[in-house]
Parts: sequence; structure tokens; C-alpha cells
Amino acid sequence: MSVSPFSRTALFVALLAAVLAAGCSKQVRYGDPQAVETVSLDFGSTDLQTIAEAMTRSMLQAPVIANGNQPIVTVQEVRNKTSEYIDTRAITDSIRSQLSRSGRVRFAVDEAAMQQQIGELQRQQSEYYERSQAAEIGRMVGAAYRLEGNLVSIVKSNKKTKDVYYKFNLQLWNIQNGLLEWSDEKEIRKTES
Amino acid sequence: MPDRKPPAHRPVTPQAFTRLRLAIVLAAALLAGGCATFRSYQFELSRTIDLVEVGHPDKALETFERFNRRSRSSLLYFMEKGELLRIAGRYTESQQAWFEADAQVQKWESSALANPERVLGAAASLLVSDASRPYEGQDYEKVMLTTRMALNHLALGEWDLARVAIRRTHEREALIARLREQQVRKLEEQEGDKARAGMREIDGYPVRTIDNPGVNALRNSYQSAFSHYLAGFVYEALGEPSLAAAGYRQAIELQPGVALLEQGLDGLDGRVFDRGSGLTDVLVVIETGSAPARASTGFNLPVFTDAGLLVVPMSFPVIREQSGGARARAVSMGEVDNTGAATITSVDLMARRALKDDMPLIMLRAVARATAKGVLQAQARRRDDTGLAGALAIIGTVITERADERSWRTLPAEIAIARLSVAPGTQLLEIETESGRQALEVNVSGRYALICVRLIGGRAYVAATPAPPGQSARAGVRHIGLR
Repeated sequence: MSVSPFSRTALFVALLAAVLAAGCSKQVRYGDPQAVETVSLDFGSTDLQTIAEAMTRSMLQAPVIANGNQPIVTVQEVRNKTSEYIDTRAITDSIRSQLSRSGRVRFAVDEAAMQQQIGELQRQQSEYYERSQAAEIGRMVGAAYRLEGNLVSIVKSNKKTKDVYYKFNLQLWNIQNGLLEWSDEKEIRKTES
Repeated sequence: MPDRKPPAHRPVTPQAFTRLRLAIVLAAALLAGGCATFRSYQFELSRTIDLVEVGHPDKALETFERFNRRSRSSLLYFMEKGELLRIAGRYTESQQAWFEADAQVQKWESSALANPERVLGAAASLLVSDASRPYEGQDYEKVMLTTRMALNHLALGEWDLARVAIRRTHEREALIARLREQQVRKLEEQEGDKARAGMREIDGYPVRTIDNPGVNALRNSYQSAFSHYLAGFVYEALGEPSLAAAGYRQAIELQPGVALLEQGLDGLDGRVFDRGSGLTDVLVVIETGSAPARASTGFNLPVFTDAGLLVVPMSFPVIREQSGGARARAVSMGEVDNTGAATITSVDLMARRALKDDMPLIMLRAVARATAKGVLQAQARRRDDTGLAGALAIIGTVITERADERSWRTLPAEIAIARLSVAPGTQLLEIETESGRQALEVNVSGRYALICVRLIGGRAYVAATPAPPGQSARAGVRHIGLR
């Protein structure tokens, strides 16, 4: 059976259109949040997860936690000493979640959440709340330890290579006596060439 | 019915056909350039800015809309309109215009991420002129867009949304940095030393306007100390010192040696954890003048060939020197007398740096275009003995040759800041500039407040922020005038 030139042209156009349509459409898919991310040298999800896991593992082995009776800790600032916009609170939130899940540490309200805590306490003193069930002022529990740290980076580059070194340091201080009970750090080096 | 005689036609000669074909090609080239080629963007914007300078921002907006009856969907239209609406104090409408502009920049970002070659391949030659290309915005304009959107959010009391705009600014900066790095590498691979030679090879080009110590001191054309300082201030106000520190640090790196910027970082911890002073930490932003204009300059190069005399047109954009405007020197407010104001960002210099960085590509396009136009003229001369098509080709290719004059003109030329702690309530804000003192009555409240003053042509347009959520009432402004 012979195919007319017109049919051939129509077939070619249809094929071309199909190829173009397939080429233009973008697919959205879910990925593994734990998968290693190497899109760029910037601080990313893999760095955050690596630091949080390493710090939690180390801290759980510290005598003050391993032998303690669910010590109460408050999370203070991890100072971002890099030039990158890194939300260090996202790292300490992850560490706090993992420590909470272990059941061996309890957390007291931190500086950042204090305003909301006081606001809620004061709200419950209003006439709209049942007196007997309202949270009482003056019953908050103070932490025995405070967690703080630093994140620093060193960036070097030449025409062909860019190297980034991150060092995350975390410290657990005894609030009563000012002693350093535990400290550890995690280093990360990434190179792009 | 009587037979109708068909009309008599003269036979079409091959020469006439050739002339017709050439005329069609030329007409198509002219149409492709369209109004963009012949429109004087700078004339239109100068008229608009003149009205802002004499205190008529609403009339300026009307004039701008009149000039843009046929192009109300372009990126530049939305950028300029947003700024004019902001000057007029219409922040919600301004934000709508900038959302439209931002949507277009986001499309550019997606396209750049998916296909960097296409974005970097802007070197492709065009037959008509650079002005006929769709305007994609300069890098510094794209970064300034989200910075200014953050300022609008702050004027509306939307601190959390300002944070979103600021985050988008960092992401945009990072994307542009990656793209430009690739571009420089690609250009150096392709062109070698030729790419670096730049505009020094163009006789008569005012090189000093874009190659001077001020321009060269900038790290690049798109990062501004102001954008990063503002990021630091907003993060600090929202209680995020780790992010605030990065903002202040980047501002210091971009403008080293400015004490005011260093104080932002040094005093960060003290300010964040000091809740007892009861004072309002006020960031005063003083914007002066308007961004510089690009103008087209060019020459026609006579070339004698076998086909006869050809006229090869070439054009390049220049940014002429402009007077700096009334730069802010000091600010007084409440108990704080004459605290220094520091100019930390010059959009004027950024625009010049952008042009300097673009010059190698602009030159490549100009040379490619000149070659194409020369070939077109030679073809026209060879195929038509009468010389008519050749003359038409010369006229057409010369009058369409015009450098791209478009840029976001309503942006301020310079941005200065001052920071002071004052008691909440109504305060007299005095700004000392090189041309006198501006006095404003402002009402500040809450722990953090931002007052943005645009000084242009002796007029002051003020935007004051309400306090962060849950921290007292809106701030008010009353302009007292020039003293």
C-alpha cells in the first residue's frame, strides 16, 4: 500500500508535535527527604540532617544525659558566623526533636518562645477561663542546662575549584554552676570543580 | 451578460520582482523592530520623573500610563509602575504591579534553571536592534525588585511577608551569581582576550563613565549592601539573630569600612536579648534621586566593496555622568542629635557596572548585526541595478540601528541609612542633606520601626512602617517641609 506525500507530512507533523509536547511538559514527583542533595555548594538539607544526627548521637552518650534523670534543657542561640543565610534554628529544632523522641531529655521554653508563653499564661488569667483549670503564673520550670553553639565556615575558591568548610559546634552548659557538661563538633567539607 | 475584459497587466520583470522582495524583507525587518526601535524610553521616563520631582506623583503615573498604552504587560512597565505607586503612597497597588513583574522574573528564573544556555545565549545577533528584544531586566533590577517588595510589605505592616520577599532576594542573587559565573567562563572560552578588551576598542566611547574606581570597587552589579542590611534588620526584628547576622555580615563585605554597618553586627546579640529599654530601634532609609538613564550613541562606518558603498551602522548604550543629587549626611530624631547617615548602595554605580559587564556581549551583538546589515545592503545593491533597493537598504538598516535605552529609571540613585533608638511616640525627624534639611513628624512604636524617605527634586515622600505584630499601633507621618 502506498502512502501519499500528504499523509507522510501529516504523520511527521503529528510525531513532531508529540515529541515537542513531551519535551515541554514538566513532571512533579516526590523525592526522599533523606536523599543526598548536591545541587549546589550552599548549606543544604543533607548538611542539616548530618549535623543534627551527629550532634544528637553524641549528646545522648554524654554522662549528664545518659546517667541523668531526664534533665531539663533550654535551647539557646546557635550563632551563624558564616556569610550564608542559614537558619540555625532549623538545626537546633531537629536536634531537639530527635532528643525528645529518645525520651531522655526534657525541654524548657526557650528565649524565642518566651513571649508567646507569657502571652498565653496572661491570657488564661482573664475572666474567660475556668479558674481551676487555668495555668497558674509562677509555676514554670527552669532548665538545668542550656544548649548553645556556633556555625562557622571557610570558603576558598580559584578559577576551577570552590571549597566550602563548615564547622558546627554545640555546647551543653550547667546553668547552676556554669560548668561545661558536654561539647562536640561536626565538620563538613564540600568541593565543587 | 456581456463578457468582461480582464484588466490589462504589465508583465512583472525579474528586476521588479527582486526589488519587491527586498522591499518586503526591509519592511519586515522594520516591523520586527516595531515601536521598540523608535520609541525613546528615556524621553518618556524623564517626563514622568519630572512630575515626581515637582510633587505630582499621581500625574506622573497618568503620564506614564499614557506613554504605555500599548505595552502594559512588559516587565519594565510593571517595575516602573510599582515604583510610581509606591512614591504616591499606594502600597497595595504598588505591590500588585510588582507581583506581576516578579511573576515575569520568576519565569526567567525557571527558564534560566532549565536552560542556562538560552539565557546565556543572549549574544545571538539580531538583524534590527537590541531595543527590539523583549526586556528581561538587568540583574540588579531583578534583585532590587524583591528588596522593594519587602519595603512595601513593611509599609503595610506585613513583616512576615517582608521576610518572604527577602528570602526570595537571596535565592535570586544566588541564581544570578551561578549564571554569571557560567557566562564569564563560556565567554572566555569562546572569545579569549577579545571578551576582556571590551569598550576600550570603541573610539570615542566615554569609557570613564563605566570604568572608574567607584564602579570597579563593586563586587558585581547586582549585590547591594542595602538589600542585605535590610534583610538583617527584618530578621532581627522577627527574632532570628542567626539569619540577621548573615545579612549584616554580607552588607559589611559589600561595603567594607562603614562603621554603621559594623555596628549592626556588633550590637546584634545585645539588641535581641535586651527587652527592657522600652526604646524603639528605628532604621531610617534615605533614598535620593533616580537611577541613571542609558542613551544610544553610534556611528556609521562607510565601507567600499565590489558592490559599491555600504554604510555599516553600529550603536552602543552609554550612561552619561549625572549629578549625584542631595546626598544625606546626618539624621536627628528625639534625643538623638545629628547621628551620621551612610550611603551604602548606589544604584547609579550598579547600573554602570551592569553596562560595563554587559559590554562584551553588546559588542558581539553589534558586530554581528553590523555584518548582517552590511550583507543585506550588498545583496540589495547587487540585485538591483537602479540602486533604489540599495539606497532603501542603507536607510532601513541605519535608522533601525539604536542601542537599548531601557532600564528601571524610577529606582533611587543612592540609598543611605541611619539607625537610632528613640522613645516611642511622635518625634521630629530631621534629615540633613547636601542641599538643606528636611523635617518630618513621625510616630514610631514597637521595638523596631522603619522609616523610608525618598528625596527627589527637593520633595520628600515618606513610608513609615507599623510596628511588628502585637507591638502597639501604626506609625504616622506628617511632612513639615524643607528647612
